[in-house]
Order: sequence, then C-alpha cells, then structure tokens
Amino acid sequence: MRRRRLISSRSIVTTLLAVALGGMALWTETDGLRALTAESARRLAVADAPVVVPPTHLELATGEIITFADLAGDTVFVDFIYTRCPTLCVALGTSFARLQAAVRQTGRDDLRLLSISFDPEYDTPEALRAYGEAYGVDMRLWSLARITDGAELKRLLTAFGIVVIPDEFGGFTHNAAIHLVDRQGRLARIYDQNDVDAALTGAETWQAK
Amino acid sequence: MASQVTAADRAYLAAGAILYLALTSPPVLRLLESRMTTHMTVLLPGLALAGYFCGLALGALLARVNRSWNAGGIPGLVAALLTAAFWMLPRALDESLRNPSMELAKLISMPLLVGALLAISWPALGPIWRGVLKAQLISMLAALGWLYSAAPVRLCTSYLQSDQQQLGRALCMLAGALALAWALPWFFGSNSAAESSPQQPKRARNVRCQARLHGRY
Repeated sequence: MRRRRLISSRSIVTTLLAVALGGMALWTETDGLRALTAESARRLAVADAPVVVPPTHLELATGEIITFADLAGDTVFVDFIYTRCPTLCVALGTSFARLQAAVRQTGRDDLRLLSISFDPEYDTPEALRAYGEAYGVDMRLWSLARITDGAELKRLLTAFGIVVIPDEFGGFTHNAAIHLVDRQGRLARIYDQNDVDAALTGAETWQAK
Repeated sequence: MASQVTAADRAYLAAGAILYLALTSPPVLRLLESRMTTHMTVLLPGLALAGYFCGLALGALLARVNRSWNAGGIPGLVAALLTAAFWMLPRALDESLRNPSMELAKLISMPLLVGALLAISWPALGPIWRGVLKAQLISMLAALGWLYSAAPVRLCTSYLQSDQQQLGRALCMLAGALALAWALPWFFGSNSAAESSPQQPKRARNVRCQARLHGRY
C-alpha cells in the first residue's frame, strides 16, 4: 500500500472548493458582509431597490377610509404601532412627535406622517384618537390608521418587512423604525426610530431626485 | 479493503435516523423553533448530532474516498466550520423561519455538512487541529453568549429580547461545561483522555475505533 501523504492534491481541490462555496454562501447571505441581521438586510434591500407599497385600505382615526394611492404626491413617514404598547412605541411615538414638529418647521405641505396600527381589534378609531391626544397629533399632518382587512394587513407588513411577535406580557414585539414612502408610493428608505434628523434630511434629498 | 457494516454501524445509523426524524417532525420542529434558545441549543446541535451518528456509521465505508479527498480531515473540517458559521448568522436563522427553501437548506446542511463531515474528519485530524477546534468552539460560545446576554438590540426579528438574553446565558454555561468536560479527564489520568490524543490511524478499522472513541467528545 502506498504511504499516505498528509496532504493530497485531491484534498487541496476539495479544500478550495469548500472555501469557495462556503465563502460564497456567507458573502451572498450577508450582502457582501453588509447585513448580518434581518433588520439591517431589510433596510439595505429597500435602499438598493424601493418597494412598491401594496394597495391597502386605511381606516383613519377620523373615521375616513383612504388608500395609499390617496397619499401619492406626498412623501410619507410611516411607522407601525399598537396603541396599548408600553415600551417601544412610546419611544417611537415620541420620535414621531418630534418629526411632526420638525416637518411643521420646514413649512412644506408635501410631507406627511402616518402611524399604522397592526392591532385592529383593539385600535378602533376611538383608541387611535386617544393615542393622538397623548402625542399631540395634528391630524392634518399626522394620520393615525388601522387596517381592518387581515389579508391586506399581512401583505403590507410583509412588504415593509415588519415582523410582529406576541411578547410575554400579552402585548407585541416588533421591529420599529421610521419608513419613508416616496411620492410614487414606494418604500424608499428606512431609518432608526430615533433618527429624526436623518429621516428629515433623507426625505428632502430623496424628493430632490 | 473490504469494508463491512457492523452491528454497531447499524445502531449508529438507526440512532441518527431516529434523532433526525424526531427533530424534523413538524410539532417538534415548531416547538424548538418557537424559542431562540431551543432553536440554537437544541435543534441545530441535534441536527448536527444526527448527522454525526450517520457519519460514524458510514465512516468505514467512506474510508478510501475520505483518505484521498479529505486527507487529514482538513477539507471536511473547513466545510463544516463554514456551514456552522452560516447558521450562526442571526439573519440566516430568521430567514429559515420565513422561507421554506432556507428551512430545507438548514435541515439538510446541518446534519450532512456539519455533523457527518465532522464525524468522518475528526479521526484524521491531528492533535493541534483538535485543540484549536475545541478552544475555538469554547471561546466562540462564550463570546456569543456574552454578546447575546448583553446586546441592547434584538438580533433576530423573530425572537424576543428576553429569549435572546436567555440564549446568551445558556451559551455561556455551555462553554463552561465543555471546557470542564474536556479539561477534567486530564486531571484524573483517565484512559479515554490520554487516548484521545491521536496517533495517525493506520487501518480503516482503527479509524473506526477512534471515531467511536471520539464520539464521546
């Protein structure tokens, strides 16, 4: 029997193959090491290619029913909430209140805010109005809405990449952010929930294009 | 070299198959995937273990191919480590819950590319590689454990922060347990520890015996 060498040329081939395939899989899965988590991946994907928001009926706190198409022509900051949320949404609500103040200061009438509840059973227009009062919502600028059609809600959450999971206190945990929907009704940018300045600058530069 | 399938091989194959079928049966799979902690500390290692058993059973049959294409166990080790690294990505874990083809990739690659490849590569690995691998595993578990228990943000959109912190503590404990399990035998001069520092195996039979031995480690 021929003496076994520690390294054979065949093994060099398989090692290189393993490194190439494994490296390729890791590179692809992380978008070239740019996104290691699903949240950063969703932001990156949107920035690379804006996502058309699916047609969805929104029941506003005012009782009015609109669709995303009615918002075309305006740039809309969107967040997802449920009004009995004790933790994350307080921070999110506060940053949207700051955003409202900042938008008002720009004096522009083509910037809007929209908070969408993913808890339509609890968040009736009355509950949304109470939320609006708590955060000083100016309904002309900042719309509060729920989506009553379950299939539409699911499709919208999927399009935005929002994952809602029940938490141990009877509420929900979800990925929170400021979403920028452009004039053409496309989800174009996603910002950290407290990064109001970046969102506002983003809206201005995105619109300039 | 006539390789025959022994009773022990059949037992390993059966154990691997039963473990695999149990883990991938829909109710068990759903239960284990419902928590980040069980997903990473039970399901993923369990899948690898099922593949490991099958790798032990097939080690003798594959000995010839293994020696030429997997000399020194290095190619197998590299493939196993890269595959394991892939499923350590929070993003990959999240996607396997939402995307059926990613789920399938996970259920196939963990046993085959991690478990089975480690089983057939481990006996051929030299003592330095083994030491590096063990030290690497312990330090990786401890580092990930610390990260998960201390990170202020959720790394997976599908799991709660409390779950992530629990996983962090579990990984730290696992690192500690492995360090103890690998270190303690050396203090008591037990045979198994002494024998686990390998000589290069001369015959396929020897490879198989060693594989059995190291199955415990």
